[in-house]
Amino acid sequence: MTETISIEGVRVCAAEDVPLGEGRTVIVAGRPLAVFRTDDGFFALDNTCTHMGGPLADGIVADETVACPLHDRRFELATGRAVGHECGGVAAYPVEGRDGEIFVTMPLLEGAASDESRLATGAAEVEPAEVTPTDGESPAGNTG
Amino acid sequence: MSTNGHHFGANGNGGRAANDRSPAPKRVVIVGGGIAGQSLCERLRERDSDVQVTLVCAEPHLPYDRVHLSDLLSDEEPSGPLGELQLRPDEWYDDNGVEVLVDTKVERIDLPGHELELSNGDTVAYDKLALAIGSQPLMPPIPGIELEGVYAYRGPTDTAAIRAAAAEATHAAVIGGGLLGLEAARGVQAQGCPVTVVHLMDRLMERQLDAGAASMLLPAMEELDMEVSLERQTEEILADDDGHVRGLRFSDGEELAADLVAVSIGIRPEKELAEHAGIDCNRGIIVDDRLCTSEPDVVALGECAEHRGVVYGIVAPIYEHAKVAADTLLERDGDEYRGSLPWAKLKVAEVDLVSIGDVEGDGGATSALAERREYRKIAMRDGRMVGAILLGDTRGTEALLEAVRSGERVDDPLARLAEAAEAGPEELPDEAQVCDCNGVCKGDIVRAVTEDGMSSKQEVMSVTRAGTGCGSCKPLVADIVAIAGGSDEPAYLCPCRKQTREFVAEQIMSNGHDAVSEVSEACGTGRECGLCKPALAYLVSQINDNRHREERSARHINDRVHANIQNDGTFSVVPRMRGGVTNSDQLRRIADAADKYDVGMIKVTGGQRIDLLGVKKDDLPAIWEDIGMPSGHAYGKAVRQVKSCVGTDFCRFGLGDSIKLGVELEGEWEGLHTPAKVKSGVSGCPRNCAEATVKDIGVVAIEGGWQVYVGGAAGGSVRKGDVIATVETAEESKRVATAFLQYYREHASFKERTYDFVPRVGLEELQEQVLDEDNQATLLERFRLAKTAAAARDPWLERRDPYHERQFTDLDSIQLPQAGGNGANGHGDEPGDSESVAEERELELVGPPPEGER
Repeated sequence: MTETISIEGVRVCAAEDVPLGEGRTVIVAGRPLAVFRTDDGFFALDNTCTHMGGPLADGIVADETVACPLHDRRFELATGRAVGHECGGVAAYPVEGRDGEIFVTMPLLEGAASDESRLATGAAEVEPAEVTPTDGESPAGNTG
Repeated sequence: MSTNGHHFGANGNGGRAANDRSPAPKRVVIVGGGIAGQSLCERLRERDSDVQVTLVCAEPHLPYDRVHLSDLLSDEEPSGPLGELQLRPDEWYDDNGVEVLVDTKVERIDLPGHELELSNGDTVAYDKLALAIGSQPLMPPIPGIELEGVYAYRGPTDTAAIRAAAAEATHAAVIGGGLLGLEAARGVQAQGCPVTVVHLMDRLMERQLDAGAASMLLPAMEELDMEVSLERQTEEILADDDGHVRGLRFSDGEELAADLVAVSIGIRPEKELAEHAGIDCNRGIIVDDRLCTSEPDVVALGECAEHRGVVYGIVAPIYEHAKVAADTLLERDGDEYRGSLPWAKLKVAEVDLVSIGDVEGDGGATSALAERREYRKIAMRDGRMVGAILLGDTRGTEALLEAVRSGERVDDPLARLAEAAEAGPEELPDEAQVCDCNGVCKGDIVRAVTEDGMSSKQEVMSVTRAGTGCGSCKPLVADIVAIAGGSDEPAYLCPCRKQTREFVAEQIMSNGHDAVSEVSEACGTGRECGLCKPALAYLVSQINDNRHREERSARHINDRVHANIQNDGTFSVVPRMRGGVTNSDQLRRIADAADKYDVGMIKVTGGQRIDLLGVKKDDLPAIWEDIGMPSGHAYGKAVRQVKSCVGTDFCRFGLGDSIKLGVELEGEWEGLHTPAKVKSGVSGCPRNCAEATVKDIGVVAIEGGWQVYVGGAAGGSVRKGDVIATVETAEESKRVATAFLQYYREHASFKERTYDFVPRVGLEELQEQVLDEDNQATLLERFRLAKTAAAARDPWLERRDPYHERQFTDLDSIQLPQAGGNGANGHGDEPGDSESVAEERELELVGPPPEGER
């Protein structure tokens, strides 16, 4: 194992770059993160939904969770834990605001073999609950 | 212990360590990775979190769902060798401390030594052993059964092979006209291959149907272009010169040409492993009412077990077995197993068929409607109900299942049959089993709502497990949840806060809320899971006649950026083309834009429009600018399009000017949001080329006037619309259609399509509301108010005036200039030079973040 380098305080955006109650994607060192802004502050998760890879940054944000825009799989903003489904959680990253700038801390490793699964599955416990996508079709069918 | 198979789940020491208080942990080894083995794992874990559980699977993958095997055959594109049929995700086994050995066979059971010998030479010790080894397909011992092109319909490997073969084959034969055989035949057909079902008996599904029902099922299958050949004993499977199957020869000497043969004539319980160890076997492995075999530390369950002389080849008993077996293995008191009621549902989409118990009996009642292919029967024995058949009309399935299960005494079976058809979820007794897979009764669901405070179907399902097996009872679960909630509403607008649409609407009106955040603040609506925010946003906008304060955070991404998100995160762009009419100038601009923005696909939609697929979010404003047409609202719950035929302008049959009416209607309605999408059509004559009778709102020209249809559908649901009015002029038809649209906007639940709304409200009530002169005038006035505000701005004009600087753009990428320890502080605006980019690629993220470890 090589030395773990924790990247602390990567500036990802200015506070006003993210509209209140929404998320935006930011790619840090090749890795897509979702940065959310709520009444309680900023949160950062891996952007990729564990279900079908949907962009969580485009999801609907509630007080404590975000729902993926593709099939409504939910994740806790603070921890990345999966809520109400068994697809697994996503990684959550500490976020800090200083003088209107937003900083994210990510653990990084130099020169290690790729091991994405440790990130993808390491984050969260899974609640044993059956997933039922919300009733009816996805928000909009593909027909014109 | 090591194996040459793949390892999933807990490490080789067998999962979670026992705590200090308990005696030496018991180790349960389960042989067999099917539904039975998986189900037993789950029941064991529910009862005991410490016991070591090892699951040994002979197949090279984790447990999968065999019940829905036919889905794999008929799905258009399976998403992998097992499609979506894996029962639990890989992580489940880790999370639950279940050690799984896949691709590992058990060669021998050493009963005295309490040990298993594995195919890789290893051994596994057990305290308790469960045999869930299932069954093999029964293959007739006839010449040619081993030929290339002959498949058994049982396992996913076969399924994939059959699918591939069916795509190439010119004609398939399925041997066996039972439940699985018919499903297999339908699956083969789905690959475009003609099929003949060859059956030994004189009727289909003779184990589940009486002669009357079978005689009605036969034409139903033939109508699906399936050939059925009865009383055919296959004597030989014929080979061509290359040793590939070329046909069947029957006992009467006749032959059938077939280059693909699927065999599905039944099961043969796997018992050799047990038999060789000296465990008592008959047709299957003999078990008692505790599912114990002749060996005290060994249980058997599922299709390999024979209980009271019966081997079960259906799924529901497996779940019952798993519960009893779990108690027995853990030496706990529990219910005994006294046999299962055999019942089955044919999973062929076009044919509804349920068979329960003993369908012959010594009496009973039958109601048959040959022209409608309906056959309903109650079978009686000694004055008690012992079985039922429901073909074509399966209403009352749960009620009859319960009646047969309890051996209900019936005096007038014909009346009982009629009563069952009417029996809604309200009439079901509390002890009626709703979910057969998990043994959940109506009472369990009601209590989850009334005593445990669950409110949504999803919550109830996760707590009671109802609906989490084969899933066929989900609609009933939803109904019971709604009833138990004491509300007539099919669903709460906000399930977390148990707020109905009416309640929230009342709050908005009486407090004058004009923004989602105000309602959330005041009532808590949408704060917990947030999934109802779009419904709330619609309600706020509708009640305020679109003079509300728009908050995009409450909208789905589609309505934030006015385009339809696709599975890869790109978007699709559909410009408005009223009535499906366009011109060369528009087409030229669309073509140029498609080239310029490199769209993945240009697709003509079913609604007579053009869809540009695969557009990146940040290209949206520019592509709209280049196209220069208004939004088609193809992404939203809104009026989509009014499809039209060419009508009197060109068509020699045209009776009305459908293009003019279509273009005008679309112009009047466009831009309005609705509870669910609204598709519309105008046909110029009753030949109905615009398919107006299966639209949410449709208008059809007839001799001397127009008919207005509402509540039609031709998507996931198919429903012919109801004629709400027949009027003389196109102007009148517009008023009726528009008044209906407004009534729907004001009264439907969010996501409730007109095909649900119209039957729920009832046609008479709708006519009263929409056709009455005063009501109509009021509706049209409110429509005008809403439309005026909505029409003030085409959403695609936000390209010039976005609600936020980053409405369409994400944040700038951050490249780390070097792997520089703390404080690496890249900024996306700085283009990384090639060297730093190369370094950046070597950085790999590891480990769960601190937050995630909690």
